[in-house]
Amino acid sequence: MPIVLITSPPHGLGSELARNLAEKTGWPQYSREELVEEAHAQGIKLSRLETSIIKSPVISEHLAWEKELYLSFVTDTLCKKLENKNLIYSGRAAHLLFPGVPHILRVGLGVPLEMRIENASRQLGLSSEKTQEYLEALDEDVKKWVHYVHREQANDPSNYDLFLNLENLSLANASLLLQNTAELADFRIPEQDLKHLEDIHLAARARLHLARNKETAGLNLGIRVRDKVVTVTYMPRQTAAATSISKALSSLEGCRENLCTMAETNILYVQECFDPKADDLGQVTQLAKRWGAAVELIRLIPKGEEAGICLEDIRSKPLSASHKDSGTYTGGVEDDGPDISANDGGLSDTLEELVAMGRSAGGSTVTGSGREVIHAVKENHNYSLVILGNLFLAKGPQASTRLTRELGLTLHDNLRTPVIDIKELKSEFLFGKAQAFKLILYSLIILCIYTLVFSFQKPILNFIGGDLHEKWKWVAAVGMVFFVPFIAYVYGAVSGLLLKLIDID
Amino acid sequence: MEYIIANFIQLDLSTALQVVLLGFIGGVLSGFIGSGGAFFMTPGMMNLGVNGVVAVASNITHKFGKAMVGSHKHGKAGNVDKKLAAYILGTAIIGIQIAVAINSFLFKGASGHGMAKGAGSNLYISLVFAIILSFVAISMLKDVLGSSKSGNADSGPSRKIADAMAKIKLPPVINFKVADTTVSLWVLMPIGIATGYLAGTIGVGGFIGVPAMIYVLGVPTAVAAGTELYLAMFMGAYGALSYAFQGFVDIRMTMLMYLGSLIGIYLGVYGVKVVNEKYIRMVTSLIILLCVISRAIAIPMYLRQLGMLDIDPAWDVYFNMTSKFFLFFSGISGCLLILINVIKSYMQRRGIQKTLRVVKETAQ
Amino acid sequence: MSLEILILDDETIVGERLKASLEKDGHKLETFTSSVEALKSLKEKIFDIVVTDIRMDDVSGIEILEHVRKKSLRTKVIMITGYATLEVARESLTKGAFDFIAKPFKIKEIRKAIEKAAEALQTEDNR
Repeated sequence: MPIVLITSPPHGLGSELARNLAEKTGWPQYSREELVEEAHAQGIKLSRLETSIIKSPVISEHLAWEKELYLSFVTDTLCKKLENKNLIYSGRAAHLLFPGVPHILRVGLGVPLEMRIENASRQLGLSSEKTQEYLEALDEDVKKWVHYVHREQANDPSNYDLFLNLENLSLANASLLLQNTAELADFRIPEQDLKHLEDIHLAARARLHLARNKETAGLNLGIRVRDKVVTVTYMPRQTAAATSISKALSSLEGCRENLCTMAETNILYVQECFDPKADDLGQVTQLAKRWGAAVELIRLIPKGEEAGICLEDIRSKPLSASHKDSGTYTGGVEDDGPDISANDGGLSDTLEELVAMGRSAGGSTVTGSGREVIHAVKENHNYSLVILGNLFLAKGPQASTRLTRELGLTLHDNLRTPVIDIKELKSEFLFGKAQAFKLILYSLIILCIYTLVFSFQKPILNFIGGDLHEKWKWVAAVGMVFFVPFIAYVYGAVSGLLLKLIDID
Repeated sequence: MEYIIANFIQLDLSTALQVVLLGFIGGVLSGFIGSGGAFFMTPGMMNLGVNGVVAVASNITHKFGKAMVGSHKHGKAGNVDKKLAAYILGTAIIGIQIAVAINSFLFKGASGHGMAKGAGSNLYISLVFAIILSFVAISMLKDVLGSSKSGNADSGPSRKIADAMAKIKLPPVINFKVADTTVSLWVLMPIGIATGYLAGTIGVGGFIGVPAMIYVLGVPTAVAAGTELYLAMFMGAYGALSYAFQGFVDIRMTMLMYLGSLIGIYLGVYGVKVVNEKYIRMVTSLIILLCVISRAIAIPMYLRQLGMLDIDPAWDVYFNMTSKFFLFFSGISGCLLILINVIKSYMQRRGIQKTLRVVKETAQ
Repeated sequence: MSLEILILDDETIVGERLKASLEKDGHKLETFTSSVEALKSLKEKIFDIVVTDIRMDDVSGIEILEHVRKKSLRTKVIMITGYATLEVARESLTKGAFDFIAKPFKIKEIRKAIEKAAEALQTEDNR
């Protein structure tokens, strides 16, 4: 039951290959051209998103909204096309769809330019020179489009499982290769990933549903789904949105419950095991309350390992009600039954806690490392902070620190958001004893300096601009350049702490 | 005005408090707008009787310290393209050097001929100030009014110029990773020089640097702002060093400004989060425009001091008063607008925060 | 300057709305909803500017474009469409379209495109 995504350059042979493969295997086949037609039929206008790359005057908020709608539409349509969990899809940047879902066969196709020119010039009735010009311009457009829509480099090899070059390989044999590859066990999607896929589908449907609803159309929303629970975050300027969103979602099929959280911004909290009672979580929510932010949780399980330690953790504590029936350790291979949430490293319980506080932006479990985390969150760009909690627990403390730091760097580079370790959270953002001490100390320093400077104005001014200055020009200048940032830093810390004290930052 | 020593005025309590107020307003505005409050503080200090050069020098020094603290934060957010900053900085130094040279020449050259101290440089600074900032304010206003007509569809920055510039492939062509853009050094150089010159002359290089980076180089807005702050740190250090070497930095002014500005800036930044963007740009451009008017009113006064205009010296007071009035009016009203919004949302935030939850049975 | 403009879109309302506002600018307009009819008129007469939808039943906008470019290189063709893809947009530009406007658009946008076309016509004529 494989899903095969084939990316080919425009006027390459992607759809031919897809068709050939479909004939061999009997799997349903679908192309981007058909998808665009379908969008047309459903009244979803793509032309602005498509052509803005050529005209390239503006990348606006509205366009970003259209982009999200488009991606949701693609996800929804392709999920509906799955038959027996089989699908072959071909078209522009196909391999970048369903980001973060493993075991999907992502194929790239290399087609010699001459072949494409021949193809295109026949279809468009252009001279081969004109066609070449057209294809070169188009390739450039597609590159930009992929960069904007998928936030990926079109030719990044790490996004492909297989790249077929048709220079020497015939189409029939390429298709044969593809068939053999697709039938490998590696591309059979396991049950838990199918569940993930269902959640992704539900999120896409929720977005489309809200976009079609008159009252909620055009709102800029963050949507997350976990285990059929839809969490929507919206900006505070859309205060009226909460009720209309819930109302609209109540008619969405397959949605178990929906949550709406108003948030100025989101905090992403990545950790291996969560505990709703932990101090760490308390600090995170305290910060969230101050910032008016919602907290999104990601439970990160390192690849190739299972988060066994979490369970130990939970066992050593009194079991809460929902944990009572989850007695046995399953080695991380979870049953499909309703107790699936019980073994999720405290994620569900912690989310419950956040919901109760009105701070939930949803959550999910990710297996892998930085790359997978980025895939899971990349369509949401409204993070103001990423917090890394206790991660890589199975490794020794040193390795864990190193891996956490590396993860932090990856996330920082890709999300362009400050990343902080949970241990530093308190000293950076919250006000405690240490901060109070610092405030008093720094205030005293500032007081001293100001008193000194203003009591001895004359000699000081003489030194920085008077007769003395004539003799000591360099000393005065350099001294000033060191003195001023010192004042700025110390007094800046004082004023920052003061405002922190009254919850403005 | 009495001078305590060399170029520095005698400070009384009321002047000192006014400088703190200037700093506070400048801080709120700069936090709100995202690029320097010097456009407000420099003329404000000139209205208090501080010499133009000293006002500019103290402001650059002030900005330098502030930028050092601020760019550290931006750097954490990944908004600084250090490579781009390094290239612009290299060229900006030339611009600053030109500015410092002109300013000290005018200042020192004029005082020999029995004219009012520093009137030449005051006039020059006021002129550059008025011309550049009226240009900035008007293009900003046009932008706001234009986009309000066309609705929200086209509210992002235009990439037209940037795309045209990207076609200039005159080597050496440099790629900037963080800013995600590729430009020829020859496009970059004039931007650097202009930024440096303005930073050195009126202390507001960011007004040219940021839009130039966004529109000409095609740098994303957040990265442009972050990089400019990073840049301001070095340019400020260089400017401060040069002016301090010449003996023009009044450390008392700088310190007094900090008292207000560092609190103000936090409030301004907070204001950005709670006020919608069009409103921000509207308020900003109006404030700048009023500052320009205020400075323009002071120009006849300097012309007279230079002997280029024949009016009664007694009128100086009125010119100065009107100019000061406009400046404080614009600053205080802009500031109030922002602060009212901040306070409103601060109160509101406590009330309405809840997750709305709707549970239903799975429809299966 | 007053221009002769042909507008072709299978939705009547598009022609009507454009006609109303562009005539105010002093241009002469002919609007069509059928591409066959429009082709007839294009055969008889040379327009300054042709504004055409891409997706139509009988003859596509691309074909209209090809026809116009064959007949007169002076005529500026502006394509409008709600269902364009990157490929089609690039194709029409390669085939000589002057500009490309995605639906839904504001009248302002089309007015701007026409102004640009008028400028281009003027510089060409002056040469």
